[in-house]
Amino acid sequence: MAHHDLLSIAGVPLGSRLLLGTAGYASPALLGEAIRASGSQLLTLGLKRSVQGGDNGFVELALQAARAQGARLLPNTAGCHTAREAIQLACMARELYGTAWIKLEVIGDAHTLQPDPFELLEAARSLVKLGFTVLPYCTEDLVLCRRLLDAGCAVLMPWGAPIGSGQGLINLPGLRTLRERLPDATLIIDAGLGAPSQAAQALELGFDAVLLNSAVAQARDPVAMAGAFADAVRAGRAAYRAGLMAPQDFARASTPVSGHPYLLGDAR
Amino acid sequence: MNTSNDKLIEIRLDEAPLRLGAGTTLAGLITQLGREPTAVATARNGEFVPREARHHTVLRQGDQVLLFKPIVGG
Repeated sequence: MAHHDLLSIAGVPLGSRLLLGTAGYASPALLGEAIRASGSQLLTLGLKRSVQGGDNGFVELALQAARAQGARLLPNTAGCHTAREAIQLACMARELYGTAWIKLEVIGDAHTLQPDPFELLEAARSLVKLGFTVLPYCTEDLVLCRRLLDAGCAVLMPWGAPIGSGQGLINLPGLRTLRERLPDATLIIDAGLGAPSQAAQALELGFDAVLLNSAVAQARDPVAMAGAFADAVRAGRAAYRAGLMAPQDFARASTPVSGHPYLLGDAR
Repeated sequence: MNTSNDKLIEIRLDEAPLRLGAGTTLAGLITQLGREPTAVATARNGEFVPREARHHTVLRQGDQVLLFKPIVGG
């Protein structure tokens, strides 16, 4: 990627537009290899409420891989349903991970894992005041997104589809509108992507980056899939910068034959 | 641990009951549990307690203490 076209979050340049989740891999080694193959510069992690038990080395491997490629950490507030919970968890994440960047998740519906816009906005306002760099997982609702920006969020992370569903961008008109109406905001598609083509589509639409996890972790070959997503993101961004042609309703011949077919052997 | 009933309190640690000597601090609890202080984040009664505040956070009868640790996540 050209150096003049780096993703920037809160003034920090990142050399990849692919943000990668670290959950659901078959082994720590596989996670580490997938992180390397992705080239990601921003990795999501979580917090668990527990006294007992280890994690079989997954977190340590993720941290090692992050250090090796200079990636930043983005802890999340997964599992929170209220602003109060999310704020407390964010404070703990800042202490444990040593970063003030937080992927703010406040879930409003257990079935769809849809964000709760009201609790999300309240939490975002509080966390910004507490000095956090807030990256909220949100819907594509334009007014909510405006409010989140007004609250001081560094970027917006609208869903493409429900978390883990792999459906891709299921509300294209809504996402196009969001991109058009918020031209200066950094927009990252978070959740719902299942295929590299969907990630490329997000970048082609002008979204600045994508965040995904299951699509890589659940692939038969997660390392190869991480590389495929990295390629797709690069291609999508390059296509966006190159400028897509405008779709048309009718055919238009691409070969310039002047509109007159050669009628050979026509005896009449 | 203190064995004198009048010097014991009962808290809930990660929702399980736990008896402690009266006057035990949150930092003391972490030590008693054999946990590395920098490996966990702590909350008491739903409020985050920063690492530097643990040593003067004296636990009270009925306190609910939660410990959090890093995990993978999406």
